[in-house]
Amino acid sequence: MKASDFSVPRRMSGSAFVIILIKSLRDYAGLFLTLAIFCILDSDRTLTGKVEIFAVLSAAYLTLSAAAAAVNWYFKKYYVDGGNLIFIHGVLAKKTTSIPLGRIQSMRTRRGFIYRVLELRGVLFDTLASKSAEIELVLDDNDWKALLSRVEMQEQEADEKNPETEETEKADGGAVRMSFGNLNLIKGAFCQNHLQGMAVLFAAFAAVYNTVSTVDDHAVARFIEYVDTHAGALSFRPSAYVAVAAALYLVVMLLWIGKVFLRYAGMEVIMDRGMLTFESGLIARNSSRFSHDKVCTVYVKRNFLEKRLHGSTIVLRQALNATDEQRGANMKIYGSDTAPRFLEWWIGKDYGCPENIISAQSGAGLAVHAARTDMLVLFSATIILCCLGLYTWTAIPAIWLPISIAKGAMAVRRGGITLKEGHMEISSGKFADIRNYIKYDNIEVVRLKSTPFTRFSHRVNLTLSTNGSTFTVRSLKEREAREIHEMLLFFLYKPETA
Amino acid sequence: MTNRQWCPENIDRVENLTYVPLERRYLKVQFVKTAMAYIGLMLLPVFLLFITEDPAGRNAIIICAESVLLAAAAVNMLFLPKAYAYKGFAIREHDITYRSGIIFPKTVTIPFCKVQQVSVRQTPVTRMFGLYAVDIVNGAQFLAETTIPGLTKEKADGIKALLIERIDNESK
Repeated sequence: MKASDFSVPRRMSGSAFVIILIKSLRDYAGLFLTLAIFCILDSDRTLTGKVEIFAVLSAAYLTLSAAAAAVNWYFKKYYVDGGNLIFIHGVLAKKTTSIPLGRIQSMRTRRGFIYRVLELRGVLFDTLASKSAEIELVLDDNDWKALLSRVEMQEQEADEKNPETEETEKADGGAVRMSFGNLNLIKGAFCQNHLQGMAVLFAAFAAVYNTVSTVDDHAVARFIEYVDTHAGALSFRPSAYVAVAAALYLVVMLLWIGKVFLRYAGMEVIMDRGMLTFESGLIARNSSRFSHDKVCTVYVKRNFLEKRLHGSTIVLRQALNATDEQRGANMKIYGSDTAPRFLEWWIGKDYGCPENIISAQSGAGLAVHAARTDMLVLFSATIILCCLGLYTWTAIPAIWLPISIAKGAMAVRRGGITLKEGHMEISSGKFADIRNYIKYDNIEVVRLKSTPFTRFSHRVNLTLSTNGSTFTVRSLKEREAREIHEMLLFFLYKPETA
Repeated sequence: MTNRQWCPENIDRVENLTYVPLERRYLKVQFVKTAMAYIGLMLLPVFLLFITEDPAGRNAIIICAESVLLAAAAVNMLFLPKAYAYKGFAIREHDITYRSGIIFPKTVTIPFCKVQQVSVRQTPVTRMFGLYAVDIVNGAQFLAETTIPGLTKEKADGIKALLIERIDNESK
């Protein structure tokens, strides 16, 4: 048996210890430097005392780092057994992690200066798990090549088992090119951002009000005197204030739209059978490619403005692993009403099928959930205002209360889940209509959660998570939720049944 | 609500599953962990002895804090047997289900074909009682890791072996 066939648990090479030691020194450097600075700045100590303490600290730092590195190196073993890469690590909390080689999506290597000096490379493994443990193996070139060939061998075996994967990709028809006009983009950005524009506007007004209300009495007196003198010239009409507000709002909107325009101007989409390619950008053209299989959710949002202007915001969410998650790789299309085309590309012709297999609506629990923060803020604000004797100002919470109630009611009206042929739809949103389209085989995990009120209301929450998105459908009837839970799993194993 | 006919007769529904309980020793692990957590919390108010100079106020605060923590610990310990009794796992042909929680009871089901990694681990406390936990990692953005605690070595290794075998068989 060769040492490099990874069939028995083994430690990393001796040279790897140097890398681990350097990492360990780096990890404890912050603590050491903090203590060292405290020691140097301590005015009660003499110079000799400071040097002594510094020497002791340095010795402790080096010993601690070396001990940690030794433990890390000695107690970390790995091997390949039955097509699984197995790590054994930890001293007090011992853990054995098995990763099937077929599940490894990518192997990232790291070759910093020290690695190159020692002719080593750090190897990190990515599976689809976004929560994968960051385990780095420090390998020399021979071990790296041997490990790589083991993984490749496993991939070949998997390809031989599933030859249809390649066929699917090859069996593509003609690609369709779609161009999105910039007018659509502006329309979409306006529909999406007008509320944000309003929020910024109100924030600006609040800041101005705050400044005015904090100036001293003399300033106010002088201002009143000045206004009195120049009353004729300064008597603005209310329309002038409205004009200023409108101008400010427009500026904010322009900034928001400009941001979107820079990123998404001149968008072109090439829709192939197995791949979707996006290209956009006003100055720098960015392009991204989506594999058909990597899309895990299509999100379509229509607020009241978008409905009127026949547009929607479409987001294609990608399946993410630990590396992708840091990059953020979703694609947005503003203002276009092309959601059916994307859905047909992703789900297939069944997308338009009107027949529901099963559906369930959210109940009043969702209204409570949607309005809970508002209610809490309103309640607290009212109490504070009453305590301060500002009874007139309680009109603001009183006005906001029906809005919150409407928010809750709308959330209940829209909230629900529908299982259809080949895919499911999760509806959500308060004032906007949001639909998330998910294929059954994208579901990774399903959870049913009861609350202390379930015994009275018989309603539960259903959570399902994909590689790139998570949805909780709240306050579903228990019986319906259990049925959906069961069907989701059933369709996941046998998608052809759905 | 609409409901088309399908063929569920050959499926053992999640709600009707018989859950395998965790090892009895796991309850002791829970007691030890809870006790350690509360002892740690109860040590914090003691630091007031070193930083506050007013003995009357200081003692009152310490006594109040310790009493509240002691009461919380007692309530927590009372709930532990009930929480332990509810915890359990069930394995079907294509998935594994773990049930837990008493205030918010939840049932998590992970299809075998979605499992990305499986780990068997032991902490210093569980080692004292000879127990292991199995961590099942999938590719989901939320609930990415489900842990089945309180297992013997044989059971933990058995679950791990089964999951690894099923990952290979059910990969799409």
